[in-house]
Amino acid sequence: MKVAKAEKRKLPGKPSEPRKEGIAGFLNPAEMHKLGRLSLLSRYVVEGSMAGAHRSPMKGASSEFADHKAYGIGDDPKHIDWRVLARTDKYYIKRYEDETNLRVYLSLDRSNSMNYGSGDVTKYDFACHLAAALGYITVKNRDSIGLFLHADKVDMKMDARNSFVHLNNMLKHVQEQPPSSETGLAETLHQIAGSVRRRALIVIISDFLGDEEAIAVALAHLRKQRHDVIVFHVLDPMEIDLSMKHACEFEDLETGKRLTVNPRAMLSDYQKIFGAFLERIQKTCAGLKIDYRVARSDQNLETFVRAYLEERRRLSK
Amino acid sequence: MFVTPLFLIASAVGAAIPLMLHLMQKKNSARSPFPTLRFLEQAVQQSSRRVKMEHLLLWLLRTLIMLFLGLAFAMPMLRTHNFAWLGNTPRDVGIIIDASYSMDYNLGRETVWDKALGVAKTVIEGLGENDRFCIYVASEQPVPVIAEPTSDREDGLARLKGLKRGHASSSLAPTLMAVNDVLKSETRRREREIYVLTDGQALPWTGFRTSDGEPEQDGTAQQGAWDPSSVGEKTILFVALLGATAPENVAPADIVLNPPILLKGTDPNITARLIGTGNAMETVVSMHRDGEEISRRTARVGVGADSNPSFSIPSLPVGTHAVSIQTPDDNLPIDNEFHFLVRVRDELPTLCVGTKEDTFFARAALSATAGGAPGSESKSRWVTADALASESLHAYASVFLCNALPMSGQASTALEQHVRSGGLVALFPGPAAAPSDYQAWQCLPGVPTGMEDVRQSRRKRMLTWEQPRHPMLHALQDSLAPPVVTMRRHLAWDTLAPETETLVTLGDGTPFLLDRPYGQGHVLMFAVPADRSWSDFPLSPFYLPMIRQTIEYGAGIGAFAPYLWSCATLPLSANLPEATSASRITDPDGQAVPIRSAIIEGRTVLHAENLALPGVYSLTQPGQTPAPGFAINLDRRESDLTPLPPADLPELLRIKKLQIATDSESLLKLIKELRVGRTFGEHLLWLVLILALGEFIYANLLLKDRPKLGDMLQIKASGKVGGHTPHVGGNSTKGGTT
Repeated sequence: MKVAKAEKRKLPGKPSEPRKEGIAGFLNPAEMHKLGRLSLLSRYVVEGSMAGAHRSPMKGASSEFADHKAYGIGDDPKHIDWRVLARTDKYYIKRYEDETNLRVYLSLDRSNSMNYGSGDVTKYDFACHLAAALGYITVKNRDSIGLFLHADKVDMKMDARNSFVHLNNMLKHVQEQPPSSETGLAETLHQIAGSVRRRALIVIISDFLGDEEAIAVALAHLRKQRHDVIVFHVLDPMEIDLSMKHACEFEDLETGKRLTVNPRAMLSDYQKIFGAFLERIQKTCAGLKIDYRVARSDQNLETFVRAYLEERRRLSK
Repeated sequence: MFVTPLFLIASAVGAAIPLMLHLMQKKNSARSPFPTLRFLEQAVQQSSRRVKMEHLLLWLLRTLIMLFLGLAFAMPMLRTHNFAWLGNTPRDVGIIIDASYSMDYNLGRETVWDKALGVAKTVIEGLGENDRFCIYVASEQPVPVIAEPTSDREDGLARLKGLKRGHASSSLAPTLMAVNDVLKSETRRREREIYVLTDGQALPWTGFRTSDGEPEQDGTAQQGAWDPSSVGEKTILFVALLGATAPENVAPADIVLNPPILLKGTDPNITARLIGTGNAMETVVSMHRDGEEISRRTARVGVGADSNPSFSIPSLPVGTHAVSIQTPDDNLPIDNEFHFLVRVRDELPTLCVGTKEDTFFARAALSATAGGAPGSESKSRWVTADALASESLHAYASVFLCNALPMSGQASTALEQHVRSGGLVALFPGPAAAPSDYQAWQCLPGVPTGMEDVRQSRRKRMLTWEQPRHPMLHALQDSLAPPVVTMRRHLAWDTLAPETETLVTLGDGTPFLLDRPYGQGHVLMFAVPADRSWSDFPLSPFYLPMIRQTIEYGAGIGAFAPYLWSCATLPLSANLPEATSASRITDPDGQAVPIRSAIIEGRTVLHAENLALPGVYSLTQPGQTPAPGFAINLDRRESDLTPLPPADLPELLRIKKLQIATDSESLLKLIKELRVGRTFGEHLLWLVLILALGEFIYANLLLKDRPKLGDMLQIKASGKVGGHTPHVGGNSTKGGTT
């Protein structure tokens, strides 16, 4: 029996070239140059540790007026609003919006189902590439980037930091950990929700082939923690269209289960079932006000990231 | 039965190929990793029944294609009406050939008759050594050519070659029954085939329509009537309608001569009735006298067009003239000429029998009356009753008996013979005859019971015309004054002979004039004498017209028949009384016609035989030159070539194993199918083609590209889903993990 493309994990770059590590293994200078002009904004207030370009729930020293507060012991007298005092003969302190940096956590699924690719690029390749692009943009904008690499459990956690060294190390770890094991997306999302206390931007990159209801609960958990969540649903075109011409024996990448079918004979039924699956995920995200995007592994990453971030920036205004 | 049975193995192997390919394809399928196998499993569950049905149908189509392809090359043969084991059974074959003259219809290269003989020859030549055959010709009666089944094919072919077409109509039903009886007499197990070779004309089949085979009242089946139940189930009837499908024919069918009695100086008018088959058409009808064309008319004949052209022949001299009506040559030339004779007489001779006193008024009336046309006279001769025996009565149109009874037995026999052969006897009673004197006469309208005296007060009687339309009276009633006569005595009758008509009464129902047809002639009997002894009838104003009408009536009864139909036997005493055993009759070809004599009821009767040839037959008396005797024509019913629709035959014949062929080729094909079988190879190939087309269309329908889900979702560059997913029946994938 022939075995077609059972195992493949090809990273960008020519095969003959020595393997590059870190961010250079995913992005070339031209791509970095183009991506550097983009910014990843949060749609909600986030809590950072440094001053930045993102709205903070705290009151601070920005130029944007927030409200007045009655003067109390310990308040700095220089913040007293003298005009209000002149009109009301009462002491009020003038407060301004605080601006903080964005902490972005990437949730990268490395289950075996991500190791499928009908073309030259597997879903995991595309997911890593996407993660590298988003990380680069985040750090470039002086925001912090963190990582949860997981399959059935969180395999590696890296806190959010604002440095290219951190990003480089993070991507090196990603390179070192190929897809394996089964999917436990719901459990890992619960772990992420539990570990990230302050409001942050959680970017989930996965194929969502798990228990849909559990995943929905996990997503709700993240939203309950007031995190801004972005879902990138990574799909291979073959998964969507099932455009195989001949009958073959399909083998599940995670369970090893086999099934011989003629795809053309059952294409319409498969499309209905898979379309319903996508629709359910989409509706769940829409209900939780999660930004849901389908990322086809055969499309140009830079175009995809640029289109997405520009649309997000437009919607955030 | 297969012509090439080896291909059956190929057929079986071919039928297994689709299944083998299916199994091999399943075994050689490639393995492919896939992340969303759970969706595939659900899709398989949902579509498994439909996919199985599609696969089953495709497999069935492909298997049938291969199976039928092999079978087609194996060329199966099937005998259409018998089982294969009957293939070597000897058969008895009856061949019926329609011999009516319509079989002379010209089809171009040959006539229908020639075609029928050719088919019969082919049928005989195609028989096996153990097969037997008989040949019958269907004429008006069945004519056996080979009466009993024989296997001598050479003799059969020789007799077939010598067959001559008839000149009459034909009836197929009696011949078919006769052949069926002959074949059924063989008790051994043999196949029976009857071939009816005819032209498709409807006329020969009328016997099937009218005779339904039901027994007569006396319990016996009608002789020769069609009885489908008598045809065995093993008998196969082949009917070959070899004639033209839309024949066209025009023929003169009849003539009407007016007046029927031609006297010198009369210009006769002849109306010809034409018969036509096919579409209405214009035709030219010509009349010929003594071989020369004397007149020509245009007429329209055919379906929905009837015109009867009329001709006039001026200045015909006294004598018998051969005249014919002719139509142009067509595909059936035998009926294009209609022959008849026109006899012009100089006078209407009458014979008056009685004493001088008794015949005084009658002779005066006969000598005064003119015999029909101006310028002609009725020549009257007077004899006494004693001299009657020496008279040749056939020379007289009418004989008047005036108080002539009683008379000798020889004279009365001669008179009866005269009436029987078409003469007229007008009988006036008289005081000389007692009622018993009438009893010896067989031809009288009634034997009178006696003479009845009329009272003085009732002597004035107005005569009443009881049969005003009778030929004897219809010319009288318009021109006469009220017929009042004075009656003193008259004859009285209690009973009248059968068929006697009372033409005139005395007003109270008492017969005055009786008419009885006897043989081919008539007897008129008056209630009063021809003199004034019993009444003043001879002095009445209608005595003379009545005598004159009696003469004409008598001449009309025995009028010369202008034509006769072809027949096997013709009694000469009625149709050619002047012929004797010494006479010589020749047919139109100059061949002598045999004259036979027979004694019937003590009298010698002459018959002419074999009068089938149409034309004018000549009579030659000893020592005299030949003169036209009579004209013979073919039965013109046969000229109506209206074809019988083949679809009507099953209903007419009402037998199961009936094979109908409309030409010789299809008949031979039917015979071949019956004896050898029919190969279904071509039909199977057509079936394979249809199945292959169906398989091609169905398989392509299944492989038709469906719209991709990616296109339906309309995923934008930013990853946003803008479209709709296909509708699915609300199932969810709970708990499924990969």
